[in-house]
Amino acid sequence: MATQFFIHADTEVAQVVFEYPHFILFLEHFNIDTPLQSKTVAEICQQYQISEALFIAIGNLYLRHEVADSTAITVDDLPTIIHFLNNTHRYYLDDIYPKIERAIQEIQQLNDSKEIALLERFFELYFNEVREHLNYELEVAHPYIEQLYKAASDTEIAPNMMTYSVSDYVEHHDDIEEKLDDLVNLLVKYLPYQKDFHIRRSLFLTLVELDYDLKIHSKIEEQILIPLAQNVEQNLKRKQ
Amino acid sequence: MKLIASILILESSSILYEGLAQVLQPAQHARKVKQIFSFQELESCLELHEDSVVLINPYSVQYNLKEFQQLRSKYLKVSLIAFCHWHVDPKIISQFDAVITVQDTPEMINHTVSQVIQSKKGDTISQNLLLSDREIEVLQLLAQGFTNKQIAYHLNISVHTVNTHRKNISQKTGIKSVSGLTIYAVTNNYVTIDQITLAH
Repeated sequence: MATQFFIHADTEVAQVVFEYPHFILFLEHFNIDTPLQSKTVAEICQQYQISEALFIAIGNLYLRHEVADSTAITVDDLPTIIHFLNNTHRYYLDDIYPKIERAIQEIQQLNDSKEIALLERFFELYFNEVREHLNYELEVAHPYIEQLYKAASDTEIAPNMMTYSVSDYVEHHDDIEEKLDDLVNLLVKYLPYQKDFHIRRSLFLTLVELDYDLKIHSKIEEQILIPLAQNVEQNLKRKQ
Repeated sequence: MKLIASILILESSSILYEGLAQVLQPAQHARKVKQIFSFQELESCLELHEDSVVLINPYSVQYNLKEFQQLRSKYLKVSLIAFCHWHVDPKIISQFDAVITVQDTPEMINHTVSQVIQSKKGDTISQNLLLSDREIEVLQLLAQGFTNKQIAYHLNISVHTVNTHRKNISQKTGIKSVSGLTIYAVTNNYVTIDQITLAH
């Protein structure tokens, strides 16, 4: 029985990884790339210059908690949040989606059914949508929020808030997760097997990993990034 | 979401019962929540409404194992969730459908309860999962690239009805996107591969 577990400042980070292996993704997105030894959350945060409140809020989302405690997160955490999300995007675009793509191609070599051919096409279209969505965030939404932050700390002029706003970001938040669910459903429940069992197992586990990260990714955007950015935006508007 | 008849809580401590009843959002799951005190009382409740979820303190099972197992085999539609506040023999726990502990957050508890209710609905899978003739017609047109409006026109029904069919199809198959449903349609020979488009 999994016990309900929360990260605190004095939690030993390596223990969290042992208990929740997917937590390794979280560390990667924060570029925590030295041996953890017996370091606590507070020690790791100090070493990598991450605010404890942010580490704990996102960290607990990675432990499958539904709601992040964002009360202690401040505007000064914005650059770190963006950095974290950009790293996540790199993991999607350069690592896990290409891995899924290769697995589907391998399946196709072993399983020549018409359904698998369709699945490949399905994935190709889906991957294009994902690229489009993530590139939009990387190139439009995140730079805008970074500029808001810089304007709030008076190092740069405010972006044009007439032509774009954080609420556009909310609207553009389309559903990458839905088609991922479909992919998993098709693979597990409907598509015929030929000699591709072992690759499908590995594909399935990869999809589970992606699904895990993607769900948390949306929560970070919805619960942490967007409210924070909206706050900064409103303050700037008031000043103008 | 479908509501079940009742959530029965076999827990002698009123504090724990009240707390649990507070945390559970009964309106989400069931028409009523009731505290009960014995296996006899439980059985009489189940006679009335078999369609129930029962939360039981596993300690009471430990000393009534036989009654518990009889109950299990007699009322197949009932879901049993262990409500633990102390360490319990894992052998006992394994006889339940799910476990809730006093440390669980309200979200977790509600999530567990709704999952148990959802999975019980699956008992009638073979019946439920079959698409109706009308749903198959909608699916076939969808796979061929027709829009909701075109499907409505084609089948002489309202767009609203098309939407309802689509919702039901997605619920039964677990697939939401049109392109995903198209692959499903091919897999089940509802359409041939040269009839379809996979553009959306």
